[in-house]
Amino acid sequence: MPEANEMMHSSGLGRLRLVTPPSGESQEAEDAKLARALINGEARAAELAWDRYAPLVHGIVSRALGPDAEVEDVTQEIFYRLFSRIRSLRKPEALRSFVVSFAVRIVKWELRRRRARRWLTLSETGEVPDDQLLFMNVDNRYALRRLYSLLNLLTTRERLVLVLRHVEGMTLEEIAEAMEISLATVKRTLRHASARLSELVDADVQLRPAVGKRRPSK
Amino acid sequence: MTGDDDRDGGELGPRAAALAALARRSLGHLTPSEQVRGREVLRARLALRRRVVWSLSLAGIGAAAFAAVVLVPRVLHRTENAPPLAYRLEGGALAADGRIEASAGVEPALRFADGTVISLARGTKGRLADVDGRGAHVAITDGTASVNVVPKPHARWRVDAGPFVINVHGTVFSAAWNESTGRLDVKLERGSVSVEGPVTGGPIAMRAGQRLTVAMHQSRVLLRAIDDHEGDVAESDTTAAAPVAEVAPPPVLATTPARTPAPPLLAPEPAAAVVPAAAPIRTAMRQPRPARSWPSALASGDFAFIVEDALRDLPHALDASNSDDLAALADAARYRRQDDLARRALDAQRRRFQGSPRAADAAFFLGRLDEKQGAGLVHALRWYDRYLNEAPSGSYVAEALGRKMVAVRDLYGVAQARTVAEEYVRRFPHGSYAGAAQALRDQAR
Repeated sequence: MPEANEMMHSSGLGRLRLVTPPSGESQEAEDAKLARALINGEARAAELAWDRYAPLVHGIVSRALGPDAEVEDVTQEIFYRLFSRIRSLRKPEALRSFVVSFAVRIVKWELRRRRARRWLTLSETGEVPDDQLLFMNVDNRYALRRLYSLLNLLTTRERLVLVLRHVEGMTLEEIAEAMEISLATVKRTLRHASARLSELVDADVQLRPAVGKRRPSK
Repeated sequence: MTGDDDRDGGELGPRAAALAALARRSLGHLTPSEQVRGREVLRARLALRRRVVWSLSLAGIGAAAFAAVVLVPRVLHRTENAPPLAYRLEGGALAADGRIEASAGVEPALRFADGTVISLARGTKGRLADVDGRGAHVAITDGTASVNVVPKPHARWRVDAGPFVINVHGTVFSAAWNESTGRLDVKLERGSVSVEGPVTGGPIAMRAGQRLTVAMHQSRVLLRAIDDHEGDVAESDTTAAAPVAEVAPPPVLATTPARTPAPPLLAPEPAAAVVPAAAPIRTAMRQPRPARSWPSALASGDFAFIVEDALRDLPHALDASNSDDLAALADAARYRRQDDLARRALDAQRRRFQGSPRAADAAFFLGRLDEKQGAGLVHALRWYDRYLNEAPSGSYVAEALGRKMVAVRDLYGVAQARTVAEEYVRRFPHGSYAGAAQALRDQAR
């Protein structure tokens, strides 16, 4: 990425690259450089942070909220707020955890806001936008919609813990750190949420044709 | 990220686990084009934030670097949580009161960070009244504005044309206001808007492919197909004619957005169908409508009336109704989820009015029904192709091409769909399916 490297040199970020850290330099060291650049308000640091972490944040937002036209907006909002709070980051090498934690916090607010307004995964028009599902077959599209309808029946904490664990693939420790709750609480919440969702899915007659014995395929 | 702590007691049952895996595979993948677009939006927002700070502490400094980027004073008074949209004015400058002052011989354009563009024709007098996190408010005091609003949830865009207010959702339209003749002309290419002002008798909901003309001095309201120019002649007639006796607009034209039916679940409809697009509706003076005609009932949201009326003698309704009534019946049945009845009305439309614009539209809706009812994407694809052939510049071309792209992808794979995606992006770079089309192109590479 020659253009990216030139850009970074001019902004004082030295050897940083857009996404993948150079060999021999740890992720933490790269993160620390990037965090300091953000704190110092260096030019292009925000865009570099976006390039590095947007896929991660977008994934968390998308999988937690479900198929939703607002995923891009929420992702934007996370980064926008993140940059204004970056000075509260105490360990620059822990930038990744800071980003994840920030994303989870905003998603939690977003879920609570929707619950309060009874919007759940519906858009303002009352329709579930399906832009993200355009490329799926009808069965899978329907199955995903049902999954997120059932997730709406869980509490915000249960939903987040379950999604971060089973969909996002985070460890229990990572979830505890991101959600700022104890490991024991994560385990207890996950047990309850997993059992509840499994029951709901098994009891959902409409899901049976879509998720039968065979594994659903995209 | 998964560690070795799998045995946490929080395992999902096999069916729930399969769904979670499906979500993991299907959601959350940021395409390169989405990432680039997001970076641009973020850059614009951060630039705006920096400029707010500068404007507070170093008034006037930095104007040269971003001469085209202008802040609206009200940005500091925003009440929304979201920061105001960043924008820049091309081909002109913004006065302190928001007036858009075009450079000589240039058509100025406001470009917003979300991709929305509002262009003013040469000589148009306009003003940027407000910008917030959900959209902007632009006022045209004389002249023509072309508006291309990128659809977004919670978006709020408003265009004033003289004394008229146009509330905009994701859409493409032009609005012309002639101060001296008191004439408003709105041409809606895509999406939906509602227009309200003097002599409209309440908000008038427009749908794609329609054109609304309001001759304020003659108290005339004319809603018709976008390519129908009869109203132009009528207007010139009336400007020289004696005062018009009739003042109130026809009730059929005054519909509130609140009555707009909810669109089908699985896919966005091209527009909120309140008044049939291809039904040329003339002024009340020349062609009064019966109080409870089906198009009239459709316009007022009384779908049950249409369906019940038709079901009293369905064979007669299908064989004897005119094209407008059949279209109203099909729309009403679709909105009430009575898809079989809708299909029969659409079939009758195609059989009896072959070659008409309504028959072409019926092909599109039959495709949607096939897709929705699970009759098969192959059937739906055939209908979309038929529609695209029969109405190459029809109201639903963008939607039909988008649905075709998805159908081809599902049936024949990404490589085959890429051609359709490229055509879509070329023809409708800001269309509802543009993001999906770009993602598909990225995927195919």
